Amino acid sequence: MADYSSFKALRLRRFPSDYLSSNSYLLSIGNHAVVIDPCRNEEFFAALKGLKVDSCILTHEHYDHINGANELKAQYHCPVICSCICGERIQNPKLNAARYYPAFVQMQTRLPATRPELIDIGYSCKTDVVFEHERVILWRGYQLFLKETPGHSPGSICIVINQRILFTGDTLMKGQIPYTRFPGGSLQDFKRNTIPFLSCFSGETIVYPGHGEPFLLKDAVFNLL
Amino acid sequence: MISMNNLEKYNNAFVESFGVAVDELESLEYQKITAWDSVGHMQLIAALEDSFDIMFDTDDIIDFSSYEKGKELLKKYDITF
Repeated sequence: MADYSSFKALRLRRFPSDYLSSNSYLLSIGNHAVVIDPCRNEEFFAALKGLKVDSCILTHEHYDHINGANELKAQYHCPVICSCICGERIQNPKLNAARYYPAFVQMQTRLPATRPELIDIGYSCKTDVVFEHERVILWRGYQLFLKETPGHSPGSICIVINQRILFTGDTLMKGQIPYTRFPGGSLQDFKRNTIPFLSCFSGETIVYPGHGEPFLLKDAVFNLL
Repeated sequence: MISMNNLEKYNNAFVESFGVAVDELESLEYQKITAWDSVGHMQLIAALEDSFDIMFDTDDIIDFSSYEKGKELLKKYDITF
């Protein structure tokens, strides 16, 4: 777990998952919390204890970013928010890629899953609030701006907090050309919709990605596409 | 509408997923070309599942290591060439 406690009252913590190091983020102010991309991760769920989870936001529909959503909803009764397309695709284990997850993990790591009990290839979940294009959430004095950024997947979004903190899910990763080749991904959508959006931000904007550590937007390579 | 036979469907999944020509397919193996990496593999598997209306077992997804091996695996799903 990494703790980035430098945004006034906002505490921001990152919890990489066991497989593929998918990041779950926990934002908290006092005992109120917002979760981004809940994964089945004991440390993450332990950190939630005593907090009131006001919202859960999904950056996109892929299983490695949503696999703790049902557990989170059951325990904290929080609304799950995502793009309309993401909301449709998370209901289908093929479209959310749960079915392919163990194979993908093994092909990426060259090792079979060591904790198969954490993987459910039939996984699906449901959302409570969906939006098209963009949506603003006001939370404890902060503005969370949610924006559709298709490319990595059709349901991908970015989340901007007070115009200086950017959560990108798998839309951006440090030093890597964005993956748009997964089923449903589209380089054309990324170029047409997502690059213009990302280009509006200063290079000094801090990016909190779906995998790996935070980095500055100027270290992303999306403009090379 | 023109219907494709099984071989055409099979070949088409590779061509669409990896941008390769049909005459390159017979010698194609996992990771032999840049496009057929673990990400491309998921794209190929999804394309084949859509084309043949099947669902691969996890072990078969992992064992699908070449164009020829894929044909052999598809027999388990009653797809013949």
